Amino acid sequence: MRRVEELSAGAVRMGPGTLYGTLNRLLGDGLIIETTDRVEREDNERRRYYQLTANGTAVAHDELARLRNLVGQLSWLQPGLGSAGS
Amino acid sequence: MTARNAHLAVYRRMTRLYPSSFRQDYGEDLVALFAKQVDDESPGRVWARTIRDLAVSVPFQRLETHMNRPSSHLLTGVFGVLAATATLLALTLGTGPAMPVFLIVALFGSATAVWSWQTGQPVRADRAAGRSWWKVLLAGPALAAVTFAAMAVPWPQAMDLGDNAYWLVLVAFITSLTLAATGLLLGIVAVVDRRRALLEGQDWNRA
Repeated sequence: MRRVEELSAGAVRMGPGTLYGTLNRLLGDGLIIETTDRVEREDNERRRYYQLTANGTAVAHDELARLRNLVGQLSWLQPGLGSAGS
Repeated sequence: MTARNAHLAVYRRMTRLYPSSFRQDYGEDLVALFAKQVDDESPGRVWARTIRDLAVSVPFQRLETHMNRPSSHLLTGVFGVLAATATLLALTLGTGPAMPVFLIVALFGSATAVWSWQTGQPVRADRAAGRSWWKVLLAGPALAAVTFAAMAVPWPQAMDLGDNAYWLVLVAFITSLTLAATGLLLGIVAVVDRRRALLEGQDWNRA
C-alpha cells in the first residue's frame, strides 16, 4: 500500500478493503495467482504472495497499449499535451 | 485492553460489513494490515483513511458479490437443456413444418448458452481474442465437410430421418457459410487492427 502511495506521488491512498478487493477481483479474473500459501513470518506479520499469470501479463500489455494510444490521440488533438511528461 | 487492541477490535467488528465470502478469504488479512498501519502511523490518520476505504469498498464488494452470483451458470444450463431438448425433438418428433422451429430454438438455445458461458469466463486479453479468428474461419469448412461425409455415409433404416434430413443439411450448410464469413470478417478486422496498432506504436516511439 505504501508502494502504491509512493508510485502515485500520494494521489492514491489505498485502504485494506480496497487492496484486498482489488486482489480478489484480479484473482477471480485469472489475471494473478497466489503463489504460496499464507506465510507466517517470525515477526508474526502475515504475508500473501501473488504473481501475474500469462493472461494477466497480456492484459497489462494491452492496457498499456490502450493508454499509450489514448495519450497519442490526445496529443494529436491537443498538441503539446503529450510532451508534458517527457 | 490497550489502545491498539481497542482500535483492532473496532475495526474487526467493522469488517463484518463486508460479504461473508470476502471476510472468510481476507478478514484476518484486513485486520493484520490495519494493525500494521496503526503501528506505523497515528491512529487518527489511519481511521480517516479506513473510514473512506470502508465507505467505498463495502458497497463495492457487496455489489460485486451480488452480481457474481452464479446466474450465468444457471442461464448456461437452462439454455443448454433447451437446445438439447429442441434438437432431440427435431430428431425424433419433428415433422416438415415443425422441424425448422425446433432447429431455430436449438440454434438460439445453444448460442445463448455459449454466450452466457463465455460471459462467466475470466477476462481474456483482446490480443488472445483477436488471434482466434482462424478457428471460426476453419470451423465453417469443417462443418461443411462433416455434413458432406454424413450425407455420403449409408445410414441404417432405423436412423433414417426422411425429410428432416433435408432441413438438417440446410441448417448445417447455412451455419458453415455463416461461420466461414464471420471468420473471414474477424480475420480482416484482426489484421487491420494489428497493422494500426503497429503504426500507432511506431508513431508513439517516434514521439
